[in-house]
Amino acid sequence: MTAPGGGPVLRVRKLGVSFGQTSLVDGLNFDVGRGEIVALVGESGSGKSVSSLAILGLLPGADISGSAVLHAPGPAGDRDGIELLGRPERLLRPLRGKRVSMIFQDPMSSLNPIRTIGAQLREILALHAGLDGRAAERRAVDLLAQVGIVDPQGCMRLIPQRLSGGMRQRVVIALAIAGGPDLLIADEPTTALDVTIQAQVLRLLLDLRADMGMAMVFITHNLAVASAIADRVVVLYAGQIVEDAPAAAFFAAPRMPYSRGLLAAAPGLDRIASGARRLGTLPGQVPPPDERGAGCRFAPRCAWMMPDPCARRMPALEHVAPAGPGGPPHLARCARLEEIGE
Amino acid sequence: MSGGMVSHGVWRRMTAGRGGVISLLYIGSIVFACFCGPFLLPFGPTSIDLHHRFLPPLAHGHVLGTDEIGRDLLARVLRGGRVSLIVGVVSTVLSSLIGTVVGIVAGYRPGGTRFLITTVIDTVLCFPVIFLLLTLAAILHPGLVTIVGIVTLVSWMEVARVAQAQTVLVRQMDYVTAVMAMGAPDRQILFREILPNIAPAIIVSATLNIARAILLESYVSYLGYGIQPPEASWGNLLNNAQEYLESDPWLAVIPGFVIALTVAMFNVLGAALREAIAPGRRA
Amino acid sequence: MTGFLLQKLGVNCLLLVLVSMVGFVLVHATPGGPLAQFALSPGMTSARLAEIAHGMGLDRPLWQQYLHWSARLATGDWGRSYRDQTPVLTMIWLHLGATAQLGLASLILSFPLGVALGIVAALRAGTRTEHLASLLSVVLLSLPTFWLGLVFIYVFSVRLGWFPAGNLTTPGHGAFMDHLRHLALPSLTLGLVSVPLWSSYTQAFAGDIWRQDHIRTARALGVPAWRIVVLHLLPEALLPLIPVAGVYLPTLLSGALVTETVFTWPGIGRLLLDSLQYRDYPVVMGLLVFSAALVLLCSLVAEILHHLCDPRLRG
Repeated sequence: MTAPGGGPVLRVRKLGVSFGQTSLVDGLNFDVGRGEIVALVGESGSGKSVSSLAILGLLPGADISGSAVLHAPGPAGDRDGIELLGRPERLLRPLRGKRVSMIFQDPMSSLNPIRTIGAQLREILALHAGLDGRAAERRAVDLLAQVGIVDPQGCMRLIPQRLSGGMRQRVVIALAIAGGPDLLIADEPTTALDVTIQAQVLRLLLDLRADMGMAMVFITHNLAVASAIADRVVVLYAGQIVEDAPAAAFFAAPRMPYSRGLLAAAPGLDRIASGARRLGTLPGQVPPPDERGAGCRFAPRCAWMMPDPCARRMPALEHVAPAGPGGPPHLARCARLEEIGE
Repeated sequence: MSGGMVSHGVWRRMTAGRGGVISLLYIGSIVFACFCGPFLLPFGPTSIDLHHRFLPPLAHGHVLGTDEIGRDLLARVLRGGRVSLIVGVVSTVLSSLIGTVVGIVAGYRPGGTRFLITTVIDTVLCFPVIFLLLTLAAILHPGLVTIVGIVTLVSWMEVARVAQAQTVLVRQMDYVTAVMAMGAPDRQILFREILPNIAPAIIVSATLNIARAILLESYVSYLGYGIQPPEASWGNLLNNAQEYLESDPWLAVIPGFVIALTVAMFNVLGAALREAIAPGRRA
Repeated sequence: MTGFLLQKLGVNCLLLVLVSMVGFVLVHATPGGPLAQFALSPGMTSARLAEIAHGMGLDRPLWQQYLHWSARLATGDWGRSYRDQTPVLTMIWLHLGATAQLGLASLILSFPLGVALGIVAALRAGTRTEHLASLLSVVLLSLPTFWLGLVFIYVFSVRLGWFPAGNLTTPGHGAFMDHLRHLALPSLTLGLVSVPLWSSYTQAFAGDIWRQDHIRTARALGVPAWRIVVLHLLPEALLPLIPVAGVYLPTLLSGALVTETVFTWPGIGRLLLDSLQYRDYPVVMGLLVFSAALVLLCSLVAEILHHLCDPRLRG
């Protein structure tokens, strides 16, 4: 299920995020197509969460550059779209929850602990759907049923403490889709859950995409999760995109050495990773923002590293040949792309 | 990890902020002024001069003026500061010692001992501090030793609570459990593991306690149950000041301002210490 | 919840017994004991003194005296004042009103001010605004109550003549407005010095909540900032402030004593000072036990209220 018709819902170009002198993310380019699920993958410190928070204007004190354009749904939507970066809070705020929603990792703390589920849903519905009273009540129950809550009426009267982690994440998702957004940014939404619950929540997100045609940016460090949900995988390393590929192509043959290392190091995926019978490990760790050299940022950890050009020059994000005519592009950032081969 | 390195980092962080530097400078100056100043002044704190009563500040060489019987206010403020600072520091040292020992014991020995200690602390905390202080002061013979004693008696509970909470925390840490599992004697665990870990919290708490103790002394002395005239303390300087408020307001304003400033500086120092020891965390 | 409250009630009863012991021992440990006042009266002979001591039961062992005294305490007979033979409870009751007014008025001032200051400091953590708010808290925390009172008297009463400097009312002006004007300066004094208590707790609670995911989620779902602060943050930060009231009351009573002295306000703080002056021990003991009991009662009520208001603690 890739590359649906029409332009992308979100088009990010040259996104840069820095705090003072420290640059966390630079030159990020990626698109999210209508109804497409893009997995942003990387280790902690790679800049996945920071980028998505920056897009929504939720990073106070950060210097943000570049562009992130949100396109309206339907053929009648405005062609130019809405520039999110630099948009004043006053104009940005009404878009959050209505056009783009974001949910976070920990369902235990993502809901207000002293308000009932009903009150929290009604608040969002009043805000984004203009519903109140009976109508809001009915819609809230519908939403809870839609995200798979067994007793929606009863759930409305409960406070989050009475729900299990999986139930809470379902409620959080209900809140996020209440405004009918075109795009959902989910920041590690399954990481804090048990494995069986993880699978249920992933299933729910896929169902919602099928029902609502909602696009998703799915942030995860877990490649197994990404393989279960993503249409496309974007790998981040030290604040840069190092590979951007259709999921099938990525999991069949990742091209950038870092992606290969990640895949080899992912438990449960070693059968997919070509050639790796055992769980591999990636030596070292992501360099902190102020220790990034001029060359390839992965070079210090890379098995294929050569002093020249790897340590000297930053490789560009290039097309991996051959891309079929009109087929989805596969990009990777590596100077020795051709030598390393598939 | 050596203690010297830790305290060096703390010192650097503390003096990096304006609050830490200013409060240290002020406290150094006021201590110097109170303990050395009286020897440098031409007027004694108790020398009466009935020809120069109620002089306003800066008149006839009296920098802060004179009181109702012509005593130099600056000399009395400095002399009183000596008493107030002694009460603040000595009672804090004593209450920190008592509080640390009691708190560690309560934190280290769950069960009956802890229940007993927390019950005692809770009982003392039921009484409004000033009520307790005044009753104690009224019963005992007034004087410097008495006031140090009773201020200690009403302020050790705070430190004890901090020490207890920290001890319980440290005791639960894996490495302490490991040391205990290896059969280390209690004494070693207390002095090598627990004490160094809870020391920073206690130092912060003690610094804030000096501020509180100075205030408490001033209350008791102001109300007439603390340091007795003619001996001066920051509190009793304001004893009679209210009578002359209309005509000679500086008699009340100046000593009170010095109390407020000194207490504030100890509070600022405590806050700077806390920030330096545990950056970004608030109690 | 009931189990917890029963346990709390049990602990409070134990504390109450201990508190009464402390009060009793303190007074009887005095040189001269409760008899000191009588020993000073002119023409007192040792025979007469022994007679009085016997009449008061002071020649019996201390523990018997305590049991006798505490048994009467429990039945509401708190003894009589040495000064004018008024029952102690009546005396406390007569002075309680003035302290309650002062406490309530200062609470109305300090609570909203302290909470607002704490919230602002928590939301603007790390900025100049937070530093200013913290500075204000430190300054208010460091002001000696009596000095602040004196400064207010000098400025608002002596210089500007806006408010009277003391007493409940001006004789001959018994009107309500007159009473309020007399209440102004004492409650302003006590209120301002109580602000840091509320602000420091509020800042700690609100700061913790502000960093939590549900605040970020609300922002990410487009809830307006004012709604987040007023409807999400504030109620959650106010809940843990309810038990803080138990901490607040003792400091309020302490502050009230000093404030009442400066403003000649006839509350229970003044009563304690006067009774100490006259060595009126039944009243002193009564006041110590009464204030401690009040503190315990308030913390119990606060605990119950907290359980009723916080849905996480219910059921």
